[in-house]
Amino acid sequence: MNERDRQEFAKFAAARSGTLIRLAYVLTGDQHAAEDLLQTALTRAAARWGRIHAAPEAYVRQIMYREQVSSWRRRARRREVTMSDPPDQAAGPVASAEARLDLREALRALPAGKRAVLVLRYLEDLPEAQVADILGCSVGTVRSQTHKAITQLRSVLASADLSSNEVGP
Amino acid sequence: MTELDDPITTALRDLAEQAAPPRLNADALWRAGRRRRWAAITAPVAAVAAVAVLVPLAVLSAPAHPAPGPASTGSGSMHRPPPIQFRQVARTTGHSCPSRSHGLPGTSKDECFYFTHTAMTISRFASVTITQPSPGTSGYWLSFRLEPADTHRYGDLTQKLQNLPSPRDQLAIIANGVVLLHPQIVAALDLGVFQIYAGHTRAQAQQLLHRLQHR
Repeated sequence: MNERDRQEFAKFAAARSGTLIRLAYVLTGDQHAAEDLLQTALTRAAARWGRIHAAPEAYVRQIMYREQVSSWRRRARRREVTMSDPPDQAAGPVASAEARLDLREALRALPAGKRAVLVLRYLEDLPEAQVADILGCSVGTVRSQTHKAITQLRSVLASADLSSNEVGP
Repeated sequence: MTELDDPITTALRDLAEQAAPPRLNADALWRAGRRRRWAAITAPVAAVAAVAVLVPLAVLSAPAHPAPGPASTGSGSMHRPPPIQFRQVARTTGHSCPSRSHGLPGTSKDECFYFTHTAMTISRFASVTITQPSPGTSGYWLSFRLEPADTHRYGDLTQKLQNLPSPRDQLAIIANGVVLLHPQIVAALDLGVFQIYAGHTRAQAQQLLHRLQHR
């Protein structure tokens, strides 16, 4: 690792950290956790800069996804939130500002593994095979995680919809 | 395809826009990366050497059960505050520590912490400050900065804890024989700078800060 590598790394970090922190924030839902995640990924990238300097961003993104999912797995026993059974019918169209807010909070409340799958599928617009490759799992797992995540979102949105229609005494 | 596809994409973009610009020091990250690389290369050799040297030393000189309590009050520590210990949590109980046990109380007194031998001691923090809540977060945090001489050891210690099942992934911060904090370590922290959640109110954070500064 020489001075030129260090400068390249600093240039990359300065240029891309604004974009990468947004990804980290979507994955973690918290500014401090997002900064920790980005810092961890950039440190690992620096350690392997000689091998990855041609395409560092893909490497950093992959570390962020995998680190977030694996750290969630380690904490899963304590953080698992059981949901009620999904409703038979889908929630109505999600158009109002309130509903968008509900959906955003529901996304924030998803377990990290499911949220990472949705980020890759919907925000990064990647095919299932590539999502599986990045997360180091099978395509079947990606499909099932996506399905479960959307079912969970529907359940939360349906509950929010019901509670917003409740009438006080 | 579902009726939620577009709303999910929009909500994820909305969420991403809530992120504040990161406060990163590229040079510090570079140095940490370089240390990480060298650690990966030299660790196996160093481990063998450490076992060869430290095991005989431990047999000869270490007590069977090092006391986790406050620092010695001998003449050498008369004019300096007691040290701060970082110790890996082995287990916790939901009641106060029995007399003559190796456990230490937490801040609530109705809990008792027991530890492994994985630990380090520092004489002081370079700085500890209260961090205000920022957008997307709640509560108050304490921001710690270690002295440069302690940074590498702390990085090694957190590296050991980061993949372990609970509660062995918790690092107790002990002052005056009381566990003030016991954060879960989810990643190696090798920059010497870290933040720990300190409570919902500024008063809670200030109380913790006071206990750390006035030992």
